[in-house]
Amino acid sequence: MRIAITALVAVGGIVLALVSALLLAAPLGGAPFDESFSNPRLVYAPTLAVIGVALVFSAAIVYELMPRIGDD
Amino acid sequence: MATSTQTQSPLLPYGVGRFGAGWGVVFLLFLVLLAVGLYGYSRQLIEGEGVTGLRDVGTMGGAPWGLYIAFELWFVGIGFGAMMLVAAARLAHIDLLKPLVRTMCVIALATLFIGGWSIIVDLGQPVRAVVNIIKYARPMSPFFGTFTIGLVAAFAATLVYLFLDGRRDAAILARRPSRWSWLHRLAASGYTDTEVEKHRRRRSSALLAGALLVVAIVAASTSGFVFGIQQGRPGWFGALQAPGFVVLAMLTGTAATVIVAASLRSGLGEKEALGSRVFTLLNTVMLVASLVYIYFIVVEIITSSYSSSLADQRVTDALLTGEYAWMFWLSAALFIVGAALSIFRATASRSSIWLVVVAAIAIIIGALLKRYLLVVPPLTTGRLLPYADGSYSPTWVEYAVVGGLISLGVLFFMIFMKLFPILGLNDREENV
Repeated sequence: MRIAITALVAVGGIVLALVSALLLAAPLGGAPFDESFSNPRLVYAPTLAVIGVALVFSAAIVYELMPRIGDD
Repeated sequence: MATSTQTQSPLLPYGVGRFGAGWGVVFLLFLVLLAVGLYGYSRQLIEGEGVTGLRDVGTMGGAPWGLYIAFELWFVGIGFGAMMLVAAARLAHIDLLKPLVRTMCVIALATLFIGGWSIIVDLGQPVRAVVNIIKYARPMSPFFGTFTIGLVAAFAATLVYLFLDGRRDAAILARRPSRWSWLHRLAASGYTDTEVEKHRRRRSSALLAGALLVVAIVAASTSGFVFGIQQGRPGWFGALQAPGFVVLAMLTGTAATVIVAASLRSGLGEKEALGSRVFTLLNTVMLVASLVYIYFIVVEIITSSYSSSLADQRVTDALLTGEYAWMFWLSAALFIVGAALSIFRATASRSSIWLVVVAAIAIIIGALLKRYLLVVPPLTTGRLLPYADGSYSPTWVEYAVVGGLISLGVLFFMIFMKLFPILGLNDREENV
């Protein structure tokens, strides 16, 4: 259970960071004169990416501090 | 009335909880420097960047990046280097560095923190810039990479490592009666040193150390890419920037660790944990990294002076024989002196710690000059359009702000070492 929850937090962080950076922020590459390539598809997407990165490392805290559950 | 048990309770190790007069004087000195820095920054915020020596390139004939960015690169380089050492100590099971792991984590956190602030103070509209970054930043921008991977990831990873690595020592201190035991209990967060907990600690610290190493290398490289991928700026564009940043980070991180470790050895009288062998090990790391970095400098100079474009040649001339020659040759001499002292120390029959410290000081000053030379000359002389050469001289405001930032880092370090043991507890301290 402990490893599963830790993995969930770590993978969640990676997914949040990747989705925010690749799909929600401004598109990669693109036409330099087209405004749509400069603006993020979701405002605050970069912040979500940063939170995702921080979440990955906090998985170690979850792993070590999570209370014992069942035969864990 | 205090009982005899309370009055005879053992002191907390490494001066934790004891604020002596010497510590107070040094703390006050850095507090004054911080206040001067804040005053300087207030002038900059009120009157604008006109009070600094920073000007736009081209028609303004200046450099928009100067002392702040040079120090930012220097600060974060030290932080990334300290992270690499922490990771190496864990992954390679280097027991000699164990007592210094916490010190290196605190060095990394302090330098990354003030490194981040160095970018903020460089901005004319800091609030607007920060708001725009968190709302609209583009992931393909190296600046976004620097802020997310370079600072947030590095800071978060080091903070988590520091917290988890310190739980055992915090639990030991929490058992001793002191007015800080509540803080140590909080930091221990339920750690009881069972076999299961030790097993988890070993597992997660190995994984975290691997992550620290990757993050530090990627972050240092990303800082290098900020310069290395700019084709339009002669003196910056080049494939050596990213690996050069990684090697210099390792070098300065080790040099800073040597200086701090020697200060702790002297200040805390800790000659057992910080013995000669620790400095021999750090000296070896400095020796290898400094030789590699000197090789990088030679390669860079030969490449840019042999058959480069006219614009690149101008920057090289400014470095080798022009306005910045004194700084370039001083920087090169400091690296060579540092490497020579390290070689001498490695081969000498008597092992002097102070020789390693002098080498570290030479290297760390040389690195600071090198950072300045990377930032400023390409902006003042590296132009593709037909403008005249620019110039840049930092004003008192910039010196005051940088002094304030250094003070902020030192104060952070000084406060930390009064709340938690700055060195890992040894067997003697554990059994008190």
